[in-house]
Amino acid sequence: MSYQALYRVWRPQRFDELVGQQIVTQTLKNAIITNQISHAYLFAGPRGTGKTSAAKIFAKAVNCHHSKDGEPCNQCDICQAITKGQLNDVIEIDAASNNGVEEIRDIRDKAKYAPTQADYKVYIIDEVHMLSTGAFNALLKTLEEPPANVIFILATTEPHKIPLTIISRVQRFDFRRISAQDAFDRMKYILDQKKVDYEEKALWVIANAAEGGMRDALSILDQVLSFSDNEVKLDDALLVTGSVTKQLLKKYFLELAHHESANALDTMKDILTEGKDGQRFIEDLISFIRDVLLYQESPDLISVAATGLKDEDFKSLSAAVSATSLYRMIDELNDIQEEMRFTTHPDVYLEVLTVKLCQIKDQPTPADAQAVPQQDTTAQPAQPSPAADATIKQLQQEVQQLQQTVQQLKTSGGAVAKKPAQPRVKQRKVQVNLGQIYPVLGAATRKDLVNIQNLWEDMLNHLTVPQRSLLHVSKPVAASATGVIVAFNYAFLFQEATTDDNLIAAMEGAFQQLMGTEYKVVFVPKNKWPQIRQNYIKEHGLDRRKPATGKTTASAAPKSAASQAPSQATTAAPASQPTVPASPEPPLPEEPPVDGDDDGPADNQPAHSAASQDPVTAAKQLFGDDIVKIEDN
Amino acid sequence: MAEEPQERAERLQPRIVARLKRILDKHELAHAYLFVGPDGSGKLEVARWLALRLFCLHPQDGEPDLTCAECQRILSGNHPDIVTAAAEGRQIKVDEIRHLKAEFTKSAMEGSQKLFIIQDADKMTTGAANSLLKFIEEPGPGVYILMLTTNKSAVLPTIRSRTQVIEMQPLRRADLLDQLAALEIPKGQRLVAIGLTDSVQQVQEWCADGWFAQAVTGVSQWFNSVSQGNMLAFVEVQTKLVKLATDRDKQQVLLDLITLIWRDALLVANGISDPDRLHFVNEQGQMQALAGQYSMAQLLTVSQLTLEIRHLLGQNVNFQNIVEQLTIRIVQTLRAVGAE
Repeated sequence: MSYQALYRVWRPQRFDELVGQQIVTQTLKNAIITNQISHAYLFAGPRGTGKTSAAKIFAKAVNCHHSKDGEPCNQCDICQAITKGQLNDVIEIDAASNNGVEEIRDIRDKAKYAPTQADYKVYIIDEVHMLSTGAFNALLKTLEEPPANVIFILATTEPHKIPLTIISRVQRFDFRRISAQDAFDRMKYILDQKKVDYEEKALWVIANAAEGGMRDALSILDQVLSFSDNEVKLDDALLVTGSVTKQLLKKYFLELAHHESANALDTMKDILTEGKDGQRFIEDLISFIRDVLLYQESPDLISVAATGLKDEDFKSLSAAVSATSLYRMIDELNDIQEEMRFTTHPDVYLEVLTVKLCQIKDQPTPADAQAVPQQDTTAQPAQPSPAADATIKQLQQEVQQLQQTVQQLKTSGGAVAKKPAQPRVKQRKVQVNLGQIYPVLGAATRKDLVNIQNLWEDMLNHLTVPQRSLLHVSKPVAASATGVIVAFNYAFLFQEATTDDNLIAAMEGAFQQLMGTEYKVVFVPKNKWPQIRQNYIKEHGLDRRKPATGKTTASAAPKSAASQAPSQATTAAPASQPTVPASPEPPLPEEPPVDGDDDGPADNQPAHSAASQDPVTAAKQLFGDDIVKIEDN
Repeated sequence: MAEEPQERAERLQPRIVARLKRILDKHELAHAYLFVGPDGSGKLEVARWLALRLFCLHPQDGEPDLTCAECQRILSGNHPDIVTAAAEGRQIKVDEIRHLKAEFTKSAMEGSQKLFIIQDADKMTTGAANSLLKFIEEPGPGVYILMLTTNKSAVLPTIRSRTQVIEMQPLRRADLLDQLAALEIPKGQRLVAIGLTDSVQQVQEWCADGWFAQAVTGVSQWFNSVSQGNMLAFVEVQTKLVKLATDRDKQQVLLDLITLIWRDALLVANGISDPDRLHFVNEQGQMQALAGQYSMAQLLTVSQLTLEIRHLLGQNVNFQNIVEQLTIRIVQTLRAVGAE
């Protein structure tokens, strides 16, 4: 006989041996004792909780003639035949592979015949959730009123997949997860029977790793046993389950609590290089934090012995972190656990998680303020008077807090008020390079500008598509024989362009090809352009010239310009075409005042208002508001 | 094959092989095992070794002799009592499991043992996995089932509880690097590659036509632009990355590279500068600059964004969409918090 896994050897053969399902077994036993056996049962519950075992025991118990207190005797021929799976009247069907209507029809037909050896014909349909809808429906009528002496036992891990019409026809028993304590006791019992030495701590590790499945627990125990000669050691248990020691967990937890992310990452690296299982680690950590949380509430809530740590450890641990942080840690861990299911690179997840957990800081004010009122509202209906006091205090606190924040706002003043108005996109302060602009401005002429404007399209064709799209909303605003100033409508694009050396190089290259001379390209944002020009004029003393000598030209030239411009604008296409004034190109430095004036009506700049509104208002009076178009060329 | 299979198993997983030997000596081999470990950790090699060991007619000192008829047939993949199943495409469907189930009901052709090897057990559909449940719970004597998987948590819990889970030990980083160095793969790529897989063969495949080098540079360039909050990175997705992502495997590798490079950035920001821990060593300077430029919360958010992308690909979202969306979200994250 080849070796059999522990869970097969130690499959319970009596209701007594079923661990942790007292309610279910007692009910079943009572049904047999009082002879009130139903014709259909549904056993539902997570893996390894004893559903199939219970079904087999039940089949024995109903058929055994020597049963005592509802337990099968396990001695008679029938009991032994059922244990070996040889009795024709107990039929175990794997619904997962026989899930079609055909197979169910087969059952239905054969159920008509009376049992041959035993008293009852028992159909055990395992993994019943895999039946197809058709199969379920085919079963309905048989399940409702089967022939005498036929019993159906359906077993499943996923009861929600079973149609309600089936569930209403059966007696449903829910098997509970097996508690660590029960699993521990059972393993202890088995090991005692096998006469194997064990460390209790190792059994606790296994019991916790099994997560409520007795079969899981025994599988792990099997492996641990095969590791060492008939001995259960803690180290082996940790190795097999992929768990980490409590000491390591404690170290990691304290590093998280003290926000030492580098150290925590080191610990995490050690854990990973040892080949520990990421999922297991997260589960261990969650239950560890849970223990700390419970200990904070009341040290009596957990049995410290079962966790493998000492009382002092818990004292220091629970002092290290507040309950709110613990809650947030558990939330994070839960999220990551969910996501990690789909990944083949758990290490990256764990590292990100580590950093994230280190970031969790105690934020007492907002968290407490949220937490406390919630408690109050729930407490209020029960005991109004003390709760009311608490609420008043709470409100007072809140008012104080609010006042504080208001004051803070006041002190920090404009800056804070401005903040929300700022766009979400970060405004990087890229400085306009005045050193490059002024030389170009100084030598700028209208002729060059027109020239550049004519060449603009050709230049664009020399650029790559992304570069061209950047320049799409820009245009040259001033040009000299050696340089051009390009204004961008949006500050964002201006930043992009200024930081892009490739673009500038490409544009300069293109101009050089087209013009034959070297050309410099400078960018400005459009909204700053008028100001830059005025500053330039101020700095170079051009504005002083304006009131003295330039006054006549400033008033005469603009007038002619303004009076001519609209007449052209009415005929020519409005915006992009530069409306070239009829007056022979004035050198650019003289023009800015005009433009500054053009801005005047909009900006109401006080410095120029008197002189500036003149030509425009005059033009408006002449031609009417609708026709006059103020352009900033 | 350059090496004999049992030598490779021995070299890749000495502890596991030793453990299995001990189990075999005591005649305590369980009927079902689940081998868990990343690609290249030697799952299949160990399974093959176990097959040889079980069937070999004259094992010597717990090792198969590799010369007898049985061994020869196993090595050439012709043994009738060894049944294997592997994913064709992305899933193992019920139909593919069906011939396996038929085999379960029959006794061994020759001798008294039968061995089933199911590769990529996590890729079984729910139906396929469920239909195996009863077979692997209590098979007859002499029937052994080995399931191999890279992702334990994707295997049905009811399957897991019926098997003994054996986790492969991760390979040592230095060993892997040496092996890759022997294959003359440049150092920068070596370091990145071991962050993605443990399989030397796989890395060799990637490097074969210089694809891997391009992928690494492509992702690095993308990283450099995007970490500056430069929206030109969005264009680079189209011009560089999409061209590299020619098939699904390569798309996955590219996404993993993206995840990896941001993970490095996060580690650097946390004060870990040991080059042994990082993969993109060439970008370390840039990462250090990032650490000063952005807050930890920002880098953390970005890293989390990159963790989601593999999942999206699994849901059949178009590769270009994934990376472009990621680019926009990263740039937004990096710029937004800077304004505060």
